[in-house]
Amino acid sequence: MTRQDFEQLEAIVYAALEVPAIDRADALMRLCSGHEHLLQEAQALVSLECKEGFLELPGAAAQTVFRAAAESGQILGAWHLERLIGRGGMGSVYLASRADGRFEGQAAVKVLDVGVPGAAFEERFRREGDILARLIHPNIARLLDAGTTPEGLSYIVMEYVEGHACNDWCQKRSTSIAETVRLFLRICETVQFAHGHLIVHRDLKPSNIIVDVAGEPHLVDFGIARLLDGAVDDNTRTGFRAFSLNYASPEQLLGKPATTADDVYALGVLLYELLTGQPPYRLATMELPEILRFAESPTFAVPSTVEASLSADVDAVVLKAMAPERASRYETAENLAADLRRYLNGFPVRARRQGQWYAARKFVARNRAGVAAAGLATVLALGAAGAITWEAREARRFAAEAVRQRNTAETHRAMAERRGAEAIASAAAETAAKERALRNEATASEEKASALARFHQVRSLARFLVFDLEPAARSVPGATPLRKKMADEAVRYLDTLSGSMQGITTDAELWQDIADAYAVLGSVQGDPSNAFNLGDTQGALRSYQNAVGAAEAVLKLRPNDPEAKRRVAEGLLTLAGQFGAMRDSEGAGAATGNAIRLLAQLSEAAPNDERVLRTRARLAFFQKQFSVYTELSERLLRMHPRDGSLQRYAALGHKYLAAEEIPLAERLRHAERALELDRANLQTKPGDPAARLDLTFDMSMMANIVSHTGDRQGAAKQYREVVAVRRELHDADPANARFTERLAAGLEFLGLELAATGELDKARDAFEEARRIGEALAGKLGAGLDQEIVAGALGGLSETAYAGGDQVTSCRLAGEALRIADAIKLTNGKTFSAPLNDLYIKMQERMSHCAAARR
Amino acid sequence: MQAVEALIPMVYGELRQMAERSLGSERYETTSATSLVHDLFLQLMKGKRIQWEDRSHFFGIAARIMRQLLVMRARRRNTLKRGGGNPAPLPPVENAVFDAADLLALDMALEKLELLDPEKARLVELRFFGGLTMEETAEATGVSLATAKRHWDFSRRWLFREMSAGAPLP
Repeated sequence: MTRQDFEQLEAIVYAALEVPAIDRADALMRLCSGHEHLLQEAQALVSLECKEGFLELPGAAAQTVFRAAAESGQILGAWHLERLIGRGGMGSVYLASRADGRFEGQAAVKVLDVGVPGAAFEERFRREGDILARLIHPNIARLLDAGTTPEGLSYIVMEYVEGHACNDWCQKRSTSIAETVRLFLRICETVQFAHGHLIVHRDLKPSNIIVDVAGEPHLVDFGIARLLDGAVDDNTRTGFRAFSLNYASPEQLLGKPATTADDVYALGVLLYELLTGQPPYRLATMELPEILRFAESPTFAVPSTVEASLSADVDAVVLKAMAPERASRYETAENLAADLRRYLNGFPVRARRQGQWYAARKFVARNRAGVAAAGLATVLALGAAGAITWEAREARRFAAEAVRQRNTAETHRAMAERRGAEAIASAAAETAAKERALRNEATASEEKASALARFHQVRSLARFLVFDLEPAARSVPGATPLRKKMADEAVRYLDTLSGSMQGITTDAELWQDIADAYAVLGSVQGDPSNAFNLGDTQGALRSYQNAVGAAEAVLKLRPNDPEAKRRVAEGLLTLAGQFGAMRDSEGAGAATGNAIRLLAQLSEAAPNDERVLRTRARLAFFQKQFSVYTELSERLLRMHPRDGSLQRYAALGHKYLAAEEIPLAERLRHAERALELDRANLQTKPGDPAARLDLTFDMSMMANIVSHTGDRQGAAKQYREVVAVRRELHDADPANARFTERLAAGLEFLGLELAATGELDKARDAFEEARRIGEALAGKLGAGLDQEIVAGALGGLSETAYAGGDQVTSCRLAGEALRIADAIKLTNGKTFSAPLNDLYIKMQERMSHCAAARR
Repeated sequence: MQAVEALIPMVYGELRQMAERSLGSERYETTSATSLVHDLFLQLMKGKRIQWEDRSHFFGIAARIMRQLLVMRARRRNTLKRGGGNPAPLPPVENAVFDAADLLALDMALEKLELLDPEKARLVELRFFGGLTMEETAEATGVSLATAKRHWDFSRRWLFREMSAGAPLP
């Protein structure tokens, strides 16, 4: 790709994105007209739409995580670290014991991540530590020690509590509302006790509240946030926050000094989460400006809309605790607890009685998609199953929306019927018309609803898996099992969907969707032309068969639609290709036969239909009937004489024909036509590298024909031109491996002609350069192409040495060339490309001569 | 401008030290590269009034250095991993958005983008490695906010494709 290409690509992508999604494929074809080489890339870039999150998290590099081993067994101050037990926003927590045995039992040592200047920390600890050490309560984990190591690591030592975070605990035991509220009351009382000692927690959240085996909650990290206040030099304002975004009060988010009201707010969030099973909002994935906007006016769904069993009283209590204005909140944790006790005992809650509501607008999270896609790596870490659950949930949501719309439709219908009765009674034509209109509206509404549900069921799952997740997973090392799983899940889902539709749906478009999805899936599973296929050829075969089945269902519903028939034929051709790749000639033959039958019907009915001609051309190419293919391409070209891609297609046919074993005069005719077409194509886009490269193939073909006539010098002259053009292309875009590889090939062809005309030094130079290129390309080309270049160059060098009378060198080089050729054969398990095969035979010949000479 | 230019060796030294202290210590599992850049900038500039040109210039350099440091370290980690002596398995880390392999892939893709469109590559560097906001990025690259957003969007798409498709042959 060149800079111009890149610029063009951007213009194309943005022009395509302006177009409604449904028309994008066509728009892309149109926009890429004249830039066909950009089409694939443009398609891929346009379809990447839902990549929210990629590089997008606030300061993404800031979240770059380098995993390192926990340094277990290390001694920190008087503490012996045993193992890592957790990680939090501030640092790592280790289970530890006192190294000198002066403290029985275990402790939790928190090693701080943030750069805490040792002196400032110790100062702060001396000041605050005493107060904290006096905070003795059975439900508060005690602060035991704190310090800074000589290397500058700050750490805090606390009583270790064994148990589960309170949200996990509630979830695991599926606690009732009353049980949850009782646990929460214990937490409130503990917080109130600390507040009585003028200590604010400032970072209350589920992971800081551990419930032990006896069901007692223990608050950890009390006052730690305060202890860390002096940790950071205020002038530098590193943005270090000793609190968790999701539980922070709006005023905390805005950077105001901490008070007990912050803890009350956090308790409100905690209560919300414990009762509904999910936090009211997630701020961690938002950008800072958004968080600040949120802090100005927090919005979220009221608890009862998330968990239907919760009453309006609970809503009222949670909302009062989470009131954005401090003044509207419960004054103390104790007051919050008191209101909850009222609720437990069946008294009206104060929050409700006082009507202390604030308008709780429905929380429209930036959107769930944004959260779920925040960092595809995260999604992938959840595993395919998680992603699917999410998608399934989303699909259900849309299904629910569909039901709602359907209900609306029914209401409309009922209304219509009522009005219909009135119409009869009054025999008023006007009312009848109204009824019809309403009926139509009802049907349209229902259709819209089911279309919506369908769209999301098929598209969101299959497409999400196949187009988004699967390609994303490609770059993740070792993700093959995961990709396989995703493909399997997509199949499962599609199967269910098409199964449930069997005999029920008369919706041709749904079948068309299913057909398309299966076709894509097949390509991911095992299309040989898809470099990233999963190697699941059997699965691909099944998917392609299903795609044909779905396309046939469309045809059954629309028997007179030639396009439906053509699509079946297209599907059959793809299927035949897969059979072919699996060396199942019987299956390939059957599928091809059916495609031919359908195409025959189609061309009989519409012999000049362009799309039919295109499919027929594809069939001919597939069957390697290059003369038929070329003829069809020429016909299409006559319909659109200026269509660059058709010029290329036709030229391709002529190239194949020019390489066939037919009389030289005919070969020459085809090569000249290809040259003519490629020139015309190049004229429409002067300087286009792909078109220029196309042209060099034709020139090379001409040279080859000239060489066959015995005019080796003439051939050498033409190959020189080929090399010159390819060298220009290569110099303009050195990163393009295709140009580089073709340059090397041209050099090798040129070298052979030079060797034949006795210009041995020049021949050697050409081969040496090709060899260097091949070696430099190592690993950059698929299918061992770089090795083929090296082998070809070595073979050429061997020939040159032989022509120069140096048999020893010639034999050595032939041996080397053969070794590489054998290695390619071994690793690729394939037959050689034609030029390499010729060389292989020649080198084998040479080796047998060498062996004979030695004898 | 010259003043900042003169600071570069020092910036590099400081930043390197800071980064090594946080990144280099195996004891730590996470670090905030962006906050390092900001910290350093604020430390160096404390009390001085700084022109925007200086600021953007500084962030440009800092983002580049940060990228180099992170990539260097990711390479080392990768080598370590290949070398076998893999440390004990670790608990999953929250927000593990990028790992070393991703970072190397991004670096490679960015190098390619630099050849095709150096301005966009710079924008990505500033935003991703320098941690600048969209508005700051627009100002630093001297384009309108709308253009910066568009460039960012296109670069993300392109990089994502580049990174997920390996290196497709044209």
